[in-house]
Amino acid sequence: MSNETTLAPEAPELDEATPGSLIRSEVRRITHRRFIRWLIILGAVGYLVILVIASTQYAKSSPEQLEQGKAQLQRFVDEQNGYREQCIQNEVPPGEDPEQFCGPPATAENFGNPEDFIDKQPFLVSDELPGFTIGIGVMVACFCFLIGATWIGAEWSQKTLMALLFWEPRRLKVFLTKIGVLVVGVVALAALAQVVMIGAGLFFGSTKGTTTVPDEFWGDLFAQQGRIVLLAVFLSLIGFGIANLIRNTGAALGVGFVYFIAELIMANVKPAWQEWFLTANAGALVNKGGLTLYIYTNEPSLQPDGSFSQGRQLLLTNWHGGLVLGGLALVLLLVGGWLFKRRDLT
Amino acid sequence: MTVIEVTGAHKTYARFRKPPEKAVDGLDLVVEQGGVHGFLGPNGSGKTTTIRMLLGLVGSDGGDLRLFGRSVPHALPEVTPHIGALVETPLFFPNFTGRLNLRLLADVAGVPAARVEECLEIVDLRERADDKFKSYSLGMKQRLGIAAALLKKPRLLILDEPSNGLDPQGIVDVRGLLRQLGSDGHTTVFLSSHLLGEVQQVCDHVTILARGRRVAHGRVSDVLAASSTTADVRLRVADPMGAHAVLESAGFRLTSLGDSWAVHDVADPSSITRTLADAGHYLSELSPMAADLESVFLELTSGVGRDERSPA
Repeated sequence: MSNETTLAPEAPELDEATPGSLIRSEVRRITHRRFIRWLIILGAVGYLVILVIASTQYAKSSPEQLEQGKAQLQRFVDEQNGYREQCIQNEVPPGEDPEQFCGPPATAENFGNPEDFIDKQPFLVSDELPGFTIGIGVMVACFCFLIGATWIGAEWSQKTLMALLFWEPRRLKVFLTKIGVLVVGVVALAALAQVVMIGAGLFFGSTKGTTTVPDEFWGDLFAQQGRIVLLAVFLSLIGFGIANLIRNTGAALGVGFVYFIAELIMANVKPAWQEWFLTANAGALVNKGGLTLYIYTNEPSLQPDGSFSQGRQLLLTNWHGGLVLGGLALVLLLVGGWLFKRRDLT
Repeated sequence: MTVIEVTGAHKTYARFRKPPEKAVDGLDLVVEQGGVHGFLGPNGSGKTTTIRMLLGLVGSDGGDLRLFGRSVPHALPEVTPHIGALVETPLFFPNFTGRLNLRLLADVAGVPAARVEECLEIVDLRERADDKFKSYSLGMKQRLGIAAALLKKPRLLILDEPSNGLDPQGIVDVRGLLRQLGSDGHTTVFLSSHLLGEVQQVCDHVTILARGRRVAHGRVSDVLAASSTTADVRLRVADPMGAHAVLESAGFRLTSLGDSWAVHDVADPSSITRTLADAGHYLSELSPMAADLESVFLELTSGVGRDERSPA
């Protein structure tokens, strides 16, 4: 293959081509894809069902219910202190300090709020919303994996990618445009899900609880939501990358399924590898402060606090989670892009 | 002006646990501007691989490939806006309508929506344009593929087996369209086909391929004539049986054509005239039997390592 672009002396002048828009074409393509539409509809219905079910689990507590809750809490504290008294009187071995052996006296603060002792608790935005955003965010991120996989996988299986190359022969441009359109779409989808979640949370808080939150709450929540959107982007790119390499959506989903089975097995066989598991790193990415893993070891080892334990704690930070997932997505796309540029398309 | 120029192109496909397959083996190809150029060869002769190399879908292992004088695949971004192509089966999304499939491609090249409608009209698909592609018959799919190839009003139209799946009327229509495009002064049609009759009917020039190599090329009529060097002649006389006996005894080889005789491998037709006249038989017809493309094709592609022939 010649590596030079040369022009024959008699080469005709070619008119300047009308500039087209690959981006417009790709946006139109992704928004018309039936499977992607169904995924979004299915996701939206699932989301709605979750919100409806959640709404039935909370209720604003009346002053009477709060009083009942306080009384229930106090009964629980008294009960615990009763056990402690029994311990001090009957179970302390000779020479042991009763305070140390049976622990300090229980207080109401040790066991939560009075609302926790009511059948239907109020929706406290500060307590509930972060968990909801993670739950919804992970669900949306899994859908985004499917969208990424089918976005390129169907193009390969239908061979429409080849047809597109008759029109735009710059393969990397096609590849990057598809990635760009996917990322923008996924960001929009994941961000919309988070915005709706905030709206629903504030609605639940105002009608079934309280919207009062600590000062730093919104900053932390927005940061967490940003990381959740990032997770959706990474998973969509991983889905895209796998499907691009094996040129089939179904096979890409199969790879994902087999991976999760393998992860479950390897967690027992090689506990230390959990540091690099995708699920652990996804958790590390979205959780505030990261994720602490407890990794079992065969031999007891000395812990930082001076105790011995058959295991060790390992903190996976947000950065660790992001770098592992982002790194995997990047490697898949680099290898896939290189192959796409070089491969014969037959 | 040369529209397609391929010099010494090679392509070998590596195959898993099988010996490599040489698809194109030193192919030379020249297509001048205008008209319809046939690209004829048996299955597996390298036609589609050559087209894929020209369009950048497959990399060549050697040789020089040019479109509009520009080397490809590097100059493809420059020349692609002037090329329409249909390679083998049309590749469209099955759940998109015919119109949407064309609109998506039109967007890429900045082709206005009105041109989409024009092309649907040309291939007689407007009424079914809002039906899903998967509901189309094979012939309708092929027509949509041709419509897509026409969208850009290309200066070079590359069609790989465009008659696949078309009904007889569809074949007639497509051939008419190709002839019309080939004579419009703007379009060069490069028609890859294994249908000898199609090439003979539609094409002005032809390149015949066998085992990845060009075995003949030139104007269709010239290729036919060049392949008729050991001409057979048709003979008609008042006394066919008598003439047969005379010629056979003189060493000629004849076969019956019903009301006439075919005399084979006649180096000099005057020898027939002389032999018959000497025996008192007078000719009412003595004409060279024109070879048809089928016999030429079979003759050219059956040999292995046959030298290239060119009447040019």
